[in-house]
Amino acid sequence: MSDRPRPQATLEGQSVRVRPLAKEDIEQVRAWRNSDEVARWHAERDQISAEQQKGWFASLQTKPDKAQVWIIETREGRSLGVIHIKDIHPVHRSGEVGLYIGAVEDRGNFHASEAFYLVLDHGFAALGLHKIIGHYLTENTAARRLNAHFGFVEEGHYREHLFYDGAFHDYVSVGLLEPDFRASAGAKFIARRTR
Amino acid sequence: MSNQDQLVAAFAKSLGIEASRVTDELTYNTIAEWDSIAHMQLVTELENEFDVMLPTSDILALSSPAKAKEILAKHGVEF
Repeated sequence: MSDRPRPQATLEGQSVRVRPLAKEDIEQVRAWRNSDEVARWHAERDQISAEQQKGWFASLQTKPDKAQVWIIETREGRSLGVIHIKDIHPVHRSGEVGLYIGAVEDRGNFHASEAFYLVLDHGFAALGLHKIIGHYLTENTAARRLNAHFGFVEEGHYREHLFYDGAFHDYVSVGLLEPDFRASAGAKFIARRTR
Repeated sequence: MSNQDQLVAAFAKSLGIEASRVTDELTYNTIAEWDSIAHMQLVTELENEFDVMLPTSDILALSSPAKAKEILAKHGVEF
């Protein structure tokens, strides 16, 4: 990997565009992240203040080589959600991916899958990552199915790891190597349409 | 096997449901089994069964068995 941070890329898909997060997006992102439907799938569920959000955005600008955050939008420019690669490590060439679609009515279609593909492909091909990891709550069926479809393998199962809603919940760690990604049903499905 | 039977079998296999549930009233996202991943598996199954390649616009429009027939007909599959 290069020592010098490169400008964050915009990734063009057939149903979505994945573009760098801009300052104008951060209140929309905060509203999504604070909503019950998004917060319920996160390990940290505290409400985020406007000040905290500004601080988060400012910190991202100081470490573009460590974390990249994108907005997922339709080809017509309507914002749908957020996707990131964070904790990018220059020696281990690893990073952690995460995504959510903000509105419930925008879920369950092809958009999240294509955005996931675009960012994973970018992580391996452009950022030079060797391994991409992810985490999700065991009850997050959509995350489990999406990750498995793109070749992620479960590498850790943390029993009763998180406490919320009056009970302990299990948490899963998954990892992806590039050959498994390229051979996955999800990657093949999208790649053969973009050739 | 007729094209209709092949279509029903493709839906049943990729969504993991009984063939009897594959009716023209079945629509995308109205049953838990037909999520975005099952949708990609369904498209792959239809492409393999009918030897076609569906563009993204058709994938987004494929919202029921009836719509699937309409889309496949555009690609020369007769029902």
